[in-house]
Amino acid sequence: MPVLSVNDLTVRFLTRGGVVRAVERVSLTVDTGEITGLVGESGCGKSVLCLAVMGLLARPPASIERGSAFFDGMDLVRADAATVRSLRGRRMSMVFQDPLTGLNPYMRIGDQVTEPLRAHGKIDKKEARDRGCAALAEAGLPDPARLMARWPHELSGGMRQRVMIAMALIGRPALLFADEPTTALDVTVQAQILALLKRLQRELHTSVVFVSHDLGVVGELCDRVMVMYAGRIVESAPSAELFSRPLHPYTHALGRASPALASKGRALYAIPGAPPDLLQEITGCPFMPRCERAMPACARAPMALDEVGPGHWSACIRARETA
Amino acid sequence: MSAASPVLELNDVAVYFPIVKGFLMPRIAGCVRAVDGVSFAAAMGEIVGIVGESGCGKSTLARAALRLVPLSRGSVRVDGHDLAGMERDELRRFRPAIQMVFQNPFASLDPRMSVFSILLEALAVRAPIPPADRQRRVALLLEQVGLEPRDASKYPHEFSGGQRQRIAIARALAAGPRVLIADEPVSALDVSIQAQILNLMMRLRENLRLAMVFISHDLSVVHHIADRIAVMYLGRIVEIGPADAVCDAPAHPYTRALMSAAPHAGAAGRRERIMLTGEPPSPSAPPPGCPFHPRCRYAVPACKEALPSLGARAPGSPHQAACIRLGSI
Repeated sequence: MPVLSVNDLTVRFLTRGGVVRAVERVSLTVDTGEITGLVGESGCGKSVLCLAVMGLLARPPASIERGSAFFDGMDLVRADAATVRSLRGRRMSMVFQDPLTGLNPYMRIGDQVTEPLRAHGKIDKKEARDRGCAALAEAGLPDPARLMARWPHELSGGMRQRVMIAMALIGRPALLFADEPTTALDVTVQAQILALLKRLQRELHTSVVFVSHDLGVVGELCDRVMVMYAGRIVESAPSAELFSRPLHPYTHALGRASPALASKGRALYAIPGAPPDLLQEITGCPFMPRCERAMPACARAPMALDEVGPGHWSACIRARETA
Repeated sequence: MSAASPVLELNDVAVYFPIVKGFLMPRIAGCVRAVDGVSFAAAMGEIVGIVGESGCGKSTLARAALRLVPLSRGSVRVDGHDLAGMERDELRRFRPAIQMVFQNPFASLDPRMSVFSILLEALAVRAPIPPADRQRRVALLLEQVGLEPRDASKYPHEFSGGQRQRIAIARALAAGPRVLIADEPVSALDVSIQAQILNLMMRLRENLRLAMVFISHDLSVVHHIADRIAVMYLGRIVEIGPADAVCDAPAHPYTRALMSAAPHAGAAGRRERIMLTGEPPSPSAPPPGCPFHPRCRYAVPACKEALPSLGARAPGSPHQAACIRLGSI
């Protein structure tokens, strides 16, 4: 049962320099209790995709040109702002990358964690407090009762990120977007946060969309991984399969460029060139100029995901040759 | 790579920052022991990797190696010359021998200087460059880092993050260093760009035989590029040895936890994870004895007694760790 189904979503930004094609015709579904990874390099559109679904993009400058995002039987793209706001923090929520700027420095942890509850209707103080403590404990924070009275600056980065997670979970959302939640953290703290997300998935059946540029983290945590490039999903597969048998040249190149997966001391594969300018309209495959396997047909072929193996989708027209 | 004559040699380096309390009558209330007794050496053409988590002192150590922060104790020798004892003028003359590449290429280049003037300034530190020679020398540097001679007329904002880091590396090379210290040089870059910069650094090591200190929080990056790895915790080196030995068979309990925490994409990566609880202690009030003992799963009462020093894993082995239970865990 999909919790979220995004269809043909296209997001553009109207800027003085022209139209930025940030997300181009993206379709995806997120199943109940599944952790879906979204990987790609800076500027590939992964965060914009999440923000668009969450209704957090300012329109203008952003504009959703086409497509839909169904959640709770409702198209979030067409729903009015008040309706989407009533879902945020309750049915769906988001954890942002930077725990330093994600928390309000003028609010005590307790007020901050329970804010989603208060925003969605009257709740008495005692109950808010109890649920706040429970949420902090759930996020693995010690001594929640005392923590409620503290200020964000008194906490370490790892603790702040847990507060953000507690805040996102207090409304018991069915869908959680986690946008690079561990990028600013050390590996040992990262391991704790990943274990926490796994536990939430198992115990509360929360669906998670996990955004990261780190292949290792995504491969370890996620059930299914989607790879984005130039605003498009270029490959989607079960996580183990994606890393052992990538069927898009971009995914393959990322793996060869990553020191975690390459053999020591050898030159790493450096993808030639740079990602395309999103101000220009791209016809054909966006990765073609940098691709080792490109052929003339790639310039004309329309970008479309094709199921090349069971549950394994690739947007490369040559994927079937290797599949 | 002979260890007989290291180019860079740090001996018992310590950096303490005073904690000043009070506004009208400031007094020193204690000190943060950011780096506390670190010794290691790097030979010509050798890359020594330094890993550790935020606040472990790795960046302070880098700054101390260049004497950008005053040393509280110890010596930093480059080709036998001790930087710690140098007077200001002497240090200025000597500094071209040891150069640094910083983490953020968006902050480390002056946005109002063209690439030509950035590199010329660094070239002229050693000796003035005759005007007729300038174009050629700058072009040579740019070529060395994989940029085009025509890039010299551009400004930093015209380049991507990876290209800016190339410019920062070219600037470090301009002074003709013997030692290059790179503090998280690829942390701000995407994977595909990171690969280009790592390849460049490995090539420079081959071509110029530089001694390099490569600091990173990313274990896979350090394992890939370094010959030897030093692991820092709370201002000290807790383990040091050949890169493969430290990564594949870590000896210190902290290194083991660190290695097991690193995410692995492959299905083969599902192994036991040692979960560390709590936070690293404050470097202003380190716990008695071994600084890792409050979080260590192997801790015994004796660990609280005395600070362990680095000991060889096997007699004569270059793989050393600072743990009293080294032989038994």
